Amino acid sequence: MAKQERHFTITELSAFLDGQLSAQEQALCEEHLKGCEQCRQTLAELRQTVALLHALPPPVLPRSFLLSAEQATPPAAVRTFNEIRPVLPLRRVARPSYVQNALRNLSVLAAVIGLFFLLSGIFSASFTGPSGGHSTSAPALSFASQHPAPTATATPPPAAPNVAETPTVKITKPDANTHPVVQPLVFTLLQVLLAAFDLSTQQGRALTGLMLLAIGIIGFFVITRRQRS
Amino acid sequence: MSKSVRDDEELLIVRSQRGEVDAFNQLVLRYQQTVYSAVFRLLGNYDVASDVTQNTFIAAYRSIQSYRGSSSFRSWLLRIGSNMACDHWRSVHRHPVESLEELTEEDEAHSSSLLSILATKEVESNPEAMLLSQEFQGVIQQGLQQLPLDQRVAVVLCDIQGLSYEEIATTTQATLGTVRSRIARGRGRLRTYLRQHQELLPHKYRLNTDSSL
Repeated sequence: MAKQERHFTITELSAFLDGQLSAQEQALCEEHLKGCEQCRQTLAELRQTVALLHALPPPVLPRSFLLSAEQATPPAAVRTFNEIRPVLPLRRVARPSYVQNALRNLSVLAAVIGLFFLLSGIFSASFTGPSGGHSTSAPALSFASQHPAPTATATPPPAAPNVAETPTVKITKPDANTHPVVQPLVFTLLQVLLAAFDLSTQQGRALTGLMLLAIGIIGFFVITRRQRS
Repeated sequence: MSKSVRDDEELLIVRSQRGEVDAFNQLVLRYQQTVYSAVFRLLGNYDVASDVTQNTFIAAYRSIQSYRGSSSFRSWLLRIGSNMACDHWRSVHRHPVESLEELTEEDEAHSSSLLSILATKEVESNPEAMLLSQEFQGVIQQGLQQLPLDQRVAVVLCDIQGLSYEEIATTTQATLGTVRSRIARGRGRLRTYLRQHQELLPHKYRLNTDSSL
């Protein structure tokens, strides 16, 4: 029986304690321990240390860690996104910084352009209006808001025949039997819309400006609120 | 754990993965003591351990889709818990050298005062008692907190939570050799520390020379 000259290290003794050495090492260690007081004591101390750790009672739970509904809500939202498109959660994270800022800037831009159109519509209207040069913005505003409706519907008639005739003939030809009534209706609607937002007329500009301004302001506030929350 | 309990647990996990909070909360009830114990032993502060445990369960619920069942659910939770505890420890102890020195000084002062308190107490009046006095639990806890973080995690998972070396290797993403050496060095340090405080130990746990193999 060849006795091992060197003592076993802490690492080896600790592994021996847990049966983590190879069978051969384990046997060698056992053999060595029989004749080595020093290693035996180290092993005993390690064993006592482990026994102490085992004897530590679990700390008393201070409270329950059950998840509340609100703690559980965000993952549910993420999960539904996950199911639809796995890429979305990442985008959701990136959105506040880039996309939302861009959207907000676009809204501001839309509002500014809208204001420009609105003012240009109002001012040119007030200059050419019946009251002449001394009119203030108040009557100009009332003029702009009162008159668009009648003029907008009044403008189409001259444009209606030539715009309506050519496309309707062309497009209705293939499926003339299926939508004989719907198509002209759609086109008159389009014409009315086009006339209402016609930038060459004062009312058109004012109306377009008002629309853009409204969209811009609403967009700005909606995005700002979402960013805050 | 019996087979029916394990099947039941699998079902609860599947239901949690479908987003059923009630099912997940049943898992919380089962494992909150385990997670809280481990986190507390790593950090040594009841309030902080409480917060970290809560965050562990929230994080576990959010990432439960990623649980594939390759390890036990218990060791998966302990992995999240110990990672979060380590993150917290590192964020508090950004200058490890300084704080370690402070800690040692504080601990020495603390344990000597403890020693005087306990010297007057009849610790040995009840030598067969398996329970450690509240004070000595505190001393062991201080000893644990003096260990470097990686050794502490290894020792807590091995000797308090009873995880296997393989499970600890997966949990801490280290090799078996590293785990073995961390456990050994942690135990070795703790042994030295406890030897300095063994007057406080009940007879049963004294690191005496007379115990043989």
